[in-house]
Amino acid sequence: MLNQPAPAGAETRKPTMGTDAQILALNGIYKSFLSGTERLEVLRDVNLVLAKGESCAVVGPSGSGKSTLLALSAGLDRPTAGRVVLAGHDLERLTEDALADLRRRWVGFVFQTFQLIPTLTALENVMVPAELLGDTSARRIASDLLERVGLAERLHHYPAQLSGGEQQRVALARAFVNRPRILFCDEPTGNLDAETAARVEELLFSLHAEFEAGLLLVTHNGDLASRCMRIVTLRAGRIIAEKTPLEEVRR
Amino acid sequence: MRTAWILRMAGRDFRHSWRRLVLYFLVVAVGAAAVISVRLFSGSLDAAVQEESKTLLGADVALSSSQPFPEEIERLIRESPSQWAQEVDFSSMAVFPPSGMSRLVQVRALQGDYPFYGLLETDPPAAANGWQEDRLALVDQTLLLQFSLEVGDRVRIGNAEFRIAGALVRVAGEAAVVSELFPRVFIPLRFVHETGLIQVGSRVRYRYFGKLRDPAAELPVLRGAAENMNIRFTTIEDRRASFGRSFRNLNRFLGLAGLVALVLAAAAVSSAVLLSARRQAPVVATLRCLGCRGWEAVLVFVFQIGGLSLGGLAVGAVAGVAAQSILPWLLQDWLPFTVQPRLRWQPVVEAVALCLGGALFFALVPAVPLRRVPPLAALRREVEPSQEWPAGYWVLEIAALGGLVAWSRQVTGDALLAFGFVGGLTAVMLSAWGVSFALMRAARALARRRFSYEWRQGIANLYRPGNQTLLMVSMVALGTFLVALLSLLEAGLLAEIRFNDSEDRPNLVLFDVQTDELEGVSRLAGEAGMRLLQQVPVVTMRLLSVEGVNVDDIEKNGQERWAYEHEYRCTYREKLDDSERLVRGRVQHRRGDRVYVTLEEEIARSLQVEVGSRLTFDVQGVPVSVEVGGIRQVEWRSFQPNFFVVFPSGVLEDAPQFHVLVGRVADRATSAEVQRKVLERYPTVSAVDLSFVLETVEAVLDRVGFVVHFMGSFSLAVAFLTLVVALAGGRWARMREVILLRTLGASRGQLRRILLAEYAAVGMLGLFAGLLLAEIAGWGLCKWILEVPFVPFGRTTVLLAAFIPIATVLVGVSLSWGLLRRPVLEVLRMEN
Repeated sequence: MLNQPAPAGAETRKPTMGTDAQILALNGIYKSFLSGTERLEVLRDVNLVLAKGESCAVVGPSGSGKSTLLALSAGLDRPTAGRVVLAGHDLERLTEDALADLRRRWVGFVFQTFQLIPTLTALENVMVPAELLGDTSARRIASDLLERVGLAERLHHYPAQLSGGEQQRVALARAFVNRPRILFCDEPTGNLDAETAARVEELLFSLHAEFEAGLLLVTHNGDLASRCMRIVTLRAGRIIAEKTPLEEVRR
Repeated sequence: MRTAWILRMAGRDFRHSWRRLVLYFLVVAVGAAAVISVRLFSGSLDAAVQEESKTLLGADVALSSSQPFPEEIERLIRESPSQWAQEVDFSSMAVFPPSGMSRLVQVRALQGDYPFYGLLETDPPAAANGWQEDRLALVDQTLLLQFSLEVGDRVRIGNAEFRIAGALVRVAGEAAVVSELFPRVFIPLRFVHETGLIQVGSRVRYRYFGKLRDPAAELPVLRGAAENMNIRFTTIEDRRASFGRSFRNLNRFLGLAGLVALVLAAAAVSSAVLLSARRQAPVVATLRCLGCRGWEAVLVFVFQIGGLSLGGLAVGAVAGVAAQSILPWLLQDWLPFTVQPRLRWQPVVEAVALCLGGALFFALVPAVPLRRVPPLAALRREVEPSQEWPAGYWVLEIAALGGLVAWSRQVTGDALLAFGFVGGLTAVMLSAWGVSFALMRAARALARRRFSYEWRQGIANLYRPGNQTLLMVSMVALGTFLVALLSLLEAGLLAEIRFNDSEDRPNLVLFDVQTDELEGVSRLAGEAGMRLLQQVPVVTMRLLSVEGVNVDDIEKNGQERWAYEHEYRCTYREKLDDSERLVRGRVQHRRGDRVYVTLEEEIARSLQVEVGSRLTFDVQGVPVSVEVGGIRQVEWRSFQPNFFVVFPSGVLEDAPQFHVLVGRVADRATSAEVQRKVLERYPTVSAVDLSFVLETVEAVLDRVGFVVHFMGSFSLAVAFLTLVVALAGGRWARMREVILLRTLGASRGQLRRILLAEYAAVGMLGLFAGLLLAEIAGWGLCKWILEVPFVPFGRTTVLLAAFIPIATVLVGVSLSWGLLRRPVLEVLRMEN
C-alpha cells in the first residue's frame, strides 16, 4: 500500500522523512473507517511535507478528508497505513501519553468551535498549555498574548461572556502560548462573520510569522487559503493538486 | 504527574460546576449522617445497657415460677438479710364501673419497694409512693385514655375493686410499647385473694425480686436452691445478656437500614457523577489536545469529587452526631430506658472512612471512562468514547458487591444473612431496572400507534441521548416498590384477621370459666346476644417423661427446652377441629389403658417424637401415660382455641379444668354488653374479642411500619433527587428541542403538553414498574411466607398512584417551565 503510485494528475512532493527543516511529513497515508459492513476509504496515499515556518492550506469539498488529514497530522488519530512524522517523531511509535507530551511541547490548535473550557476565564484558558508544561511564567506570557490579540480588558471574562470573535482570539492566544513549532487550524474563521473573520485572519498570520511556526490550515475559505504559502486540494481522499497561491492565481 | 496543576484545575472548574455536583454533596452528607448516627446510637445503646443493667431487672435477682414457691425458697427469703419484693401476675379483665367497660389486662399484684433500681413513673408522681398502703391501683396511661378515666375513678379486678391512684407512665426495665399491647394494672398484693382469680388451673406467675446486701454470698445459695426446684433464676447479668440478644437484632436492622440508604445513595452518586462526567467529556477532549494526559484529565474531575466527598462527609458527620439523638426519640417506645446520646470518635472515624471509600468508589466507576475520551472529540462532536465495557469494570462491580457483603457481614455479624441481604437487594434493584426497561420499550411501541402527537413526542423524549430516563424510572420504581410492598403485606395480615370476622366464624372468646360457672355463663352470654359456637374444656399439665426418660435428663436446646418444660393446656375430644388437619397416624379412641393423643406437628418435632412414641404427663399431681396416635397440622391464626396436645374423651373429664366458650356476637356493642353482663356476675371470667386482636395487630404494624415506611420514603426522596439532577442535566438538550419545535411552529400549549407527557410518563412508568414488582413480591410473600390472603389493591396503592405522577410532573415542570418563556434568539445566542 505504501508504495502505491500517486493518482494521475496529482502534483505531490514526496517527503524526505525527519529532516530538521521539516516539521511535518506524511508519507503514504491511508485512512479507512467501517460504516456498518462497508469500509470507507477516507484518505488514500496522501503524501505531504511542511517545513518550519511554512504555511499550507488544505482545501476541498465536504467529505474529501480534510479534517481527517488534520487529525492524523496532529496525532489526534492514527492512520490505517503510512507514516506521520511530527517534529522529528514518528507518531506510530508513540503511546497516547507520549503523543500528549508531543502536542504539549510542539503543537498549537485552533478549532472552528473555539473549544475554550467554559469554566475557566480567558486568562486561565490561555495559561493551561503553559501550566501543563510547568512554565512558571504562564500567567505573564498569557497576559501578554491576550494583550497582543486585543483582549487586555477581557482577561477575567468567561467564554460565555465573550463574543465569537473574542473567543477565537483567546483560542489563538492559547495556541501560541507555548511557542509551538506547528499550528493546526480547523476552519478558524468558519463560525465568524466576515469582519470578525478578517481580524482573526490577520492575527493568525501575524502571530504565525512572529513565532515562525509551521501552519496546516483546513478551510473552505478561498481568501484564507490564498494567504498560505501552499494550497493542497483534496478530493475523495486523494491530493489532486498542490500549488502556491501565485500558481493558483495564474491558473 | 502534575499534581499542583491538577489541583489548580479542579479548583477552577469547581467554581462553575458545583451546581451540577450539589446532589453528590447532599447524598454523601445524608448517607454519612445516616451511617454515623446509627453507629453512634448503637454505641450509646450498648453503653446504656451496661449502665442501666440494674434498671433492666429492677433488682439484683429475680426468682420466677408458675406455681407458688416451695417452702424452702420461702424460708431462704425470710431468713435473707436483703430487701425483697413479691409479685403475683396474671391476665384478667379489668372492669371500669360505672360504665362496665372492660379490657384484658396484665394484673400485677405487688408488695415491697420494687423496682429497687430505676423508677416507677406515675402521673401524678406522688402516686408511686404509698399506693400499696390502701386499696389503690396504678393503671396504665393507655387505659385511662381509652376509657376516659381519671385519677380517683374505680377499677374492678375479679371480685375486688380499687381506686385509681395514678397513671403508670413508665416502669423501670419495661418498654413503653408494652403498655399499649398488654396494659398493666398494679394492685397491692395483700388484696390479690380478694379478686378470687387465683384458682387451680389459673395461669399465674409468682415472682420474688431481691436487692441483695451481699450478692457474692447470697447468689450461689439462691441459685442452687432455684435450680433444684425448677425455678427460674435471673440475675442482672442474665437480663443484660438476654436484652443484648434482643437488641442485637435492632442493631442489625438499623445497620441494614443504613446500608439500604447507602446503596440507594450510591446509585444516586453514580448517576450524578455520570451526568457530570458526560458534560465534562468535551473539556477532557480539549485538554488532551492541549497536551494533557488521559489520567490527568480524569484526576481533575476526581479531585473535585474527592473534595466534595470530604466536604459532604464533614457536614454528614456533624449532622450524624446531631441526628443520633433522633433515634432514641424514634425508638423510645421500644426501649426500656432512656438512651443518652454520647459522642465517641471511633465509630465516627470508621464510618467516615467507610463512606469516603464508598463515595470515591461509586464516583470513580462512572468517572474513569473519561480517560478514554479521545482528543479527536474536540475536532468532531460525533466522536464518543468507546462504549465497550472494559474487563476491569467487571472486577470493580464484583469488588463493589464484595464490599457490600463485607459491610453487611460486619453490621449483622452473620455471613449467611449478609449474603441473603445483598443478594435480595441486588435482585430487587436488577428487577426494578429490568421491569422499567421493558415498560419503557412497551410505552414507546404503544405510543407510536395509538397516542396523539404530544404524547408520542413526550414518550419519544424519554429516549433522548443522555437523558438518564432508565435510571430515573428505576429509582422511582424502587421507592414505589418498598412503600407498596409493605402496605400489601400489612393489608394481607389484616385481611387474614378480618376474614375471621365472617358470619360463621367466632369473634368473641370467654375463658377461665370454671366448671360450676359453665351453665350460668353460657346462659348469660346467650341472653346478651352471643351465639355459642363451641365449648372447650382445658386441663393444665406438665410433661414428665418421653419414651420413659425423665425430661430433666434429656439434653435440649432453647426451643426444645420450652417444649419439654412449659405448662401444657390440653383439651379432650374425639375428632379434629376445622382448624386442624391430620398429617400422620389417626385419631383414636381410648382403648382400655391405652390412651392415644394427637400432637401438633411443630411440638412433635421439638420433642423429637413420632406416631407410636410414649409420653407421660403430670396432670396436676397424677401421672398419665399416653401414646402418640396422630400428628396434626394446626391453623394457629384461626380465632378459636388450638392445642398442642389433644386427648381422647374418657381420660381427663375428672381432672381440675376450666372452660373456654367460643361464640359470635353481632357487633362491638353486643360484645361489650356480653362482657359487662358476664363479668358483673362472674368476675373471674376473661374475654377477648376479635376487634381487640385487630386493634393490637394494627398497633404493632403501625409501629413497625413507621420505620419501614421511613426507609421507603427515603428511597423515594433519593429517586426524586436523582430526577432533579437528571432533568437539570438534560436542560440544554430539552431547550434545543423546544427551540426547534417552536421554530417549526409548535404552540406553547403543545410544548407544555409535550413536557407534561414526558414527566408524567417517567412517573407512571416508575409507578407501574414499582407496583408490578411489589404485587409479584407481595403475592409470593403472602402465599408462601406469611400464608395470609393477598390483597392486590389498597389505600396506599391509590395514594401512590396519585402522588408519584403528580410529584414527577411538578418536579419536571418546575425545572423546565422557564424554557417556554425565553425568546428563541436569546437561547440561540446562549448556545453560541
